[in-house]
Order: sequence, then structure tokens, then C-alpha cells
Amino acid sequence: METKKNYREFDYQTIVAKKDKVDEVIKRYDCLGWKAIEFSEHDQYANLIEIEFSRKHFIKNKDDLQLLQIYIENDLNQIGKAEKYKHSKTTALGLLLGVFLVCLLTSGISLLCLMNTLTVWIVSSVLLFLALVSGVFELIYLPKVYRKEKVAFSEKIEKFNAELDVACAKAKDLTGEKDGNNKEEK
Amino acid sequence: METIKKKNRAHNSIHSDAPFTVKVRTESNNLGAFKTMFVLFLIFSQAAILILSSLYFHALFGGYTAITLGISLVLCIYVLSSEFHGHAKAVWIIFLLVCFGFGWIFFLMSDKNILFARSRRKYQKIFLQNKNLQQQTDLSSHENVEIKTACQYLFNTGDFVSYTNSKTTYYPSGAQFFDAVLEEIEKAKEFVFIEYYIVANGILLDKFLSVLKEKVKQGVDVRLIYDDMGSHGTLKRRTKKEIAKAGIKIQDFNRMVPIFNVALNLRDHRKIVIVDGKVSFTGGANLADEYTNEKRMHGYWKDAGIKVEGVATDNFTIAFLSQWQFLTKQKIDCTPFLSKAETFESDGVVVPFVTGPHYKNSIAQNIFSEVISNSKEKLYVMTPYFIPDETITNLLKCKAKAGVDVRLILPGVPDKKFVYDASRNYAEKLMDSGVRVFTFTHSFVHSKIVLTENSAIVGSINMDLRSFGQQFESAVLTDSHSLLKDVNEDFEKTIRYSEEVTDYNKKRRKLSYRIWAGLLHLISTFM
Repeated sequence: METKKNYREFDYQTIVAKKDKVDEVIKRYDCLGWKAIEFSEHDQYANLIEIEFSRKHFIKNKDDLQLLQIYIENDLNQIGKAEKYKHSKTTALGLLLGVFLVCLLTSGISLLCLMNTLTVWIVSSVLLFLALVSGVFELIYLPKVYRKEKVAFSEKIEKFNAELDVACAKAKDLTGEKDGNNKEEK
Repeated sequence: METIKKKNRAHNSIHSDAPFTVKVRTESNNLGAFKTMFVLFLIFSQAAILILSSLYFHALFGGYTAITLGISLVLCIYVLSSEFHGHAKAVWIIFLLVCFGFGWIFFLMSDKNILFARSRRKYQKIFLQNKNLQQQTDLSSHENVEIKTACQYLFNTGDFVSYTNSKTTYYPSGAQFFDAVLEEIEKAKEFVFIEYYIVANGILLDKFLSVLKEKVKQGVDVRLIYDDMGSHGTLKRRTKKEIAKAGIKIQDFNRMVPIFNVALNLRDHRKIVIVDGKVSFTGGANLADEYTNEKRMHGYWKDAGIKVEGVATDNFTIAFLSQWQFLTKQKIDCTPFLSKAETFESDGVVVPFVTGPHYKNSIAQNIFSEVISNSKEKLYVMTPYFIPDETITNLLKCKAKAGVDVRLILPGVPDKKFVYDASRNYAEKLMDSGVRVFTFTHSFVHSKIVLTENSAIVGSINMDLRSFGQQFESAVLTDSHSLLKDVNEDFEKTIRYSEEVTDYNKKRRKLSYRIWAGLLHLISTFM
């Protein structure tokens, strides 16, 4: 049976979050005074979950907390975006070079198989040589790009987490509850 | 983690690969959007039929070309001699001459002197009926000399009396504002008048309705005016019926009909709540969840409002009842609703006022000009849309060049891209003169405030041509020291969370930006 909501004394907010981020989301929202009261499966996606939070309607510094919430949500979403596109450059470059390599290989081999003249031999040798060079280039360059992206990703995540920690500390100051433990509404 | 409540749906195996981690409730009324699109489609179709018919007549009857050209030339002369601002004149003349076949039809349909003449006469009749119900306060001994001309202007133009015995309270957010509104409505004993541009289904409206229904049962006269275009798609028909059934008198303003009619452009943008004639509220926030940040739209929603306590409320009471009389066609005697409030020890003058296209001149534009021209040390403006006319633009530039600290705060997150780009373009052009432009990070600024060192205007008036010429608006002009201090603090705090625009010159050098800015400037008259 659903609990009747008391909109006079409490605010409610429904958040859609990724299942593997639920604990992080609950921790960050807790700083803002929100307490998770209900969890539901998302209507459409199996990897998403709906979390309902509640908080007292009349709280100190509500405007500042609402603004901080935006910053926190923005940072959480930036982390999500960074994780999704963690190796986007590597993937794109790998795909591009891979397709290029395959095209060179197939062109070189097909030419060799279809015709048997000196010119074709030279052209196909050049194509196969270029394929080899691009293969070697890919093997050397891609891991470098991958490592660079990994470092950049870690720095980004560190930066956003630091911002989140600062925002949460500020939020806890504003709610006046540095140790947490708002009473849950039932 | 608590037990997961599973809904009774088929098992989902689809995975979302959206990049977000969290997403707050942002549901929109898809049916409402569909209805609006359908109405707009019908209207544009009619406009297209009008244009095609005109072209058909051109082909059919050679003299039609000469006649329409003649009419267009006459109208061009009319436009040149009219009171339109310079930019609008240029745009209309170009339109009339280039599209002379059908441009004159659109012009005649949109000119307020023709289109709005009958309604204006009705408003004028109501205005004369309610004129002189209050006595103007003698401000000769008032210490703030600068505000006296503004007060006199408001009195002479709209019969808006200035009060020195009423107090004001500033609310720097929609959430605080509506908490105060609900608190006052709960104390209502006689009447509650509400006028909003947007009334939307949601938590806030539910709170309002639960209180208002109780009040109706207690015998309180509750009236609600909502703008039909503003509330189109946000206020369900079922809710309107529920409101009427509960005994709340409800009126829509300028109903949206699927007929091509430029009068549909004239909207009631006011946000007024009046309780017992003793307390009134106005500001930027509408009756919808995004204004209290219950619903997430465009980041953090920054809004502001003002409470007026005392006899000054009468200005809004008369304005509301005049609007009600216009809409219901029932003659109303305002006298029983006036002079209900007690007097207060006030630290300044308070002048609630309203504006609208029924006034011959744009009160909003003129009062802004007056307040801006009186500034000597600082001039702060917070507005969601910044599309001013030449007068305001030149005043701002002059003030900045004269050493006044002119700051403009715009949204950091746009709600309408075209309008936002136009606003940024207009704002950034002022930077050469020394105006400082800020954008509130991750936020949509919806407050409409002008603050100088000696006065402030807080209300529903955007600093754009729509608010100046096509919309009914409400605001309060005051020089109350305590309010000026609160508004100033709000500005300082907002600026701390804002980014100052500094990359304008770099952008300006790009050809694509200059072309885009030019196009926006051309069509900004119609935004």
C-alpha cells in the first residue's frame, strides 16, 4: 500500500539513476538533506532505477541547497559522460585505422589475385606495404592514445569527485547537519 | 539498499546507454505540446492560404498589383509617422515593400490601433470608471527626489497611487515566494484574487487548490485569471472543471483559437495574488513546479518576488477587478474591495502598477527608462530575455560611459535558443560601453529586476519588446531601504555564482556569428 504523501511538511523528488551508481547518488543527495524512501524499477530500461527522496519542506538555506543540488547533479552527470566516452578517441582512431588497414589489405590482395602484370604487382606491393605500416603505426600509437585518455579520464574523475566533495561539505554546513541523520519521513 | 519495489510490467531487458548518471523529474505534457503544435499548424495553414490567395489574385487581376502596392506605400508612410520604435519601423517597411502582395493584410491585422481599438475602448471605459478611487500621496517632503518623477508618471498615466504607509518584503526565490503566498492565503477571510500567465498541474497547484477549496468552503471569494496561451498544455481541462466545481471563479484570458489572428499575440503575463485587499504579491514566478525547482527545467530556476502589505495593495486590486470586468463583461464596483489594509511604518515609497497594450504608451518601457536615467552610482538588471529598444539601449550605454556601475545578469542555461542568442547579442553589444554582462552558471534566471542605488522595480516585466508592447504586466516600484538592501544582496550573491562574459570580441570576429547576429537583430522585433 502506498504511503500518502504529506506535501505540506515534506518535499519529494524522483530521480532516475543508473543502478551501479545508486549508492553514490544516495550518498550525495544525503548531503542535501534528501533521504531515499522508495526504489522502483524503471519503466523502460533494466539498468536504470527510480529513487524517490523526501526532505522536510521548511529547511534552512533551501535556495542554496537547491542551487548546490544542480552543481552536484551536473558533476555526477559529467562523471557519467566521462565514463561513457572514456576511450572515445582510442575507439574512433582504432576503428578508422582498422578500416583503412582492412581496405589496403583487401585492395592489395584482390589486385594480386585478379591481375598478374608488373604494374599490378608494384601497386599491390605498395598497398600491402602501406597496410603493414598502418598496422605497425596502430600497434604503437593506439596504446599511447589509450594511456593518455586513461590519465585524462582519471584526472577528470578526480576533479569532479573533488568538486562533489566540496559541494557536499558545503551542503552539510547549510543543512546544519554535518554528521548526517535527518529523520526519515514515513 | 531498501527493497526494490517492482512495478507490474513485463521484464525489461533493454539497457539505456544514455550518458547521464542522474536525471530529475522533467516530465512534460506531451498531449499539451501536441495540441499546441496542432493549433499552430492550423494558424500557419490559414496564413499560407491568405498568402496563396493573394498571389492568385495577383495572377488573375493585373490591377491588384497596383492596388496592393499603393496600399503598401500608404501604410509605409503611416508606419514612418507612427510611434513604433525605429527598429520595428524598419522591419515593417521592408516587409510591406518586399511582400506588398499580402504584407498589408498582415500589418492591418497586427496593428494595435486597428486590431485592438474596440478592446482598448472597453478598457478605457473601465479605467475611467475606476479613476480617482484613491488619492495620490503628497511626496513633496519625500527625501528621495529621483523617484518622485517616476511616481508622478505612474499616477498621471495609469492612476497608480504612490504610498508611504505600506511595506514590502523581497523573496529571492520562487520557493520562498510561494511559501509566503500560501501562508497569507491560509489567513484569508474575504477574498483571494489570483492572476497568472502560467497555471500548471503539479505539486504547487495541488497545494494551492487544497488551500483555496478550504477557503471557498469558508465563504471566501476566490477568483482566478489565467492566460490561455501560457497555460495551454499545462493546465488540464479536467483541472479547470475541478476548479470551477469547487466554487473558485475561473476566467481564461484571450482564449487560443485555431484562427489566424495576430491578437493571439497579446497575452496576460501578470503574476498577481491579492489577499483580502491587505496583502498582495507579484514577481517573476508562475504557478508551476519549475518555479520552485520541484521540477527540473534548464538547471536551477532563479526567480524573485515581492510582497506588498498595506493600502498599496489597492492598486493591484483595482487592476485585477478591471481585468475581471473586461473578461466577464460584468460591471464591478471596486469600492467594497478597497481600503481594507492597515497602515505601516514604511521606509520608502511603494507603487504597485500594471501595464498593458491597452495603454497608449508603454508604461513598462517608460518607467524602466525613468528609473535607469535616475541612476548615478549603480544599475543592476536581472532579466531572462534582453531585447530592448534603442531608448533603453542608449540609456544603458550612456550610464555605463558616465561611470555608473551597470551590470546585467542573464541566464546561463537558455530556455529558448533563438531568444537567448538574441539576448546575448544585444547584451554583448553593450560591453563596448562598459556594461558588465554575467550569466548565472547552470541556471535559468527568470527574475525581472531593475535596481539602482535609489529605487528598484520587481515584477513580471522582462526587458524585451514583448513585455513593453504586447503583454499585460505587473510590478512594484519602490525605494524602500530595506528592500533595496535585500535586492542588492541577492544581486551580489547571484553574481558570485555567475560567470562574466569576456569572449565577446573573439566571437564577434567570426563571419558566421556576424551573419547570425544580423538575422536575429532583424527578427527580434517579433520575439
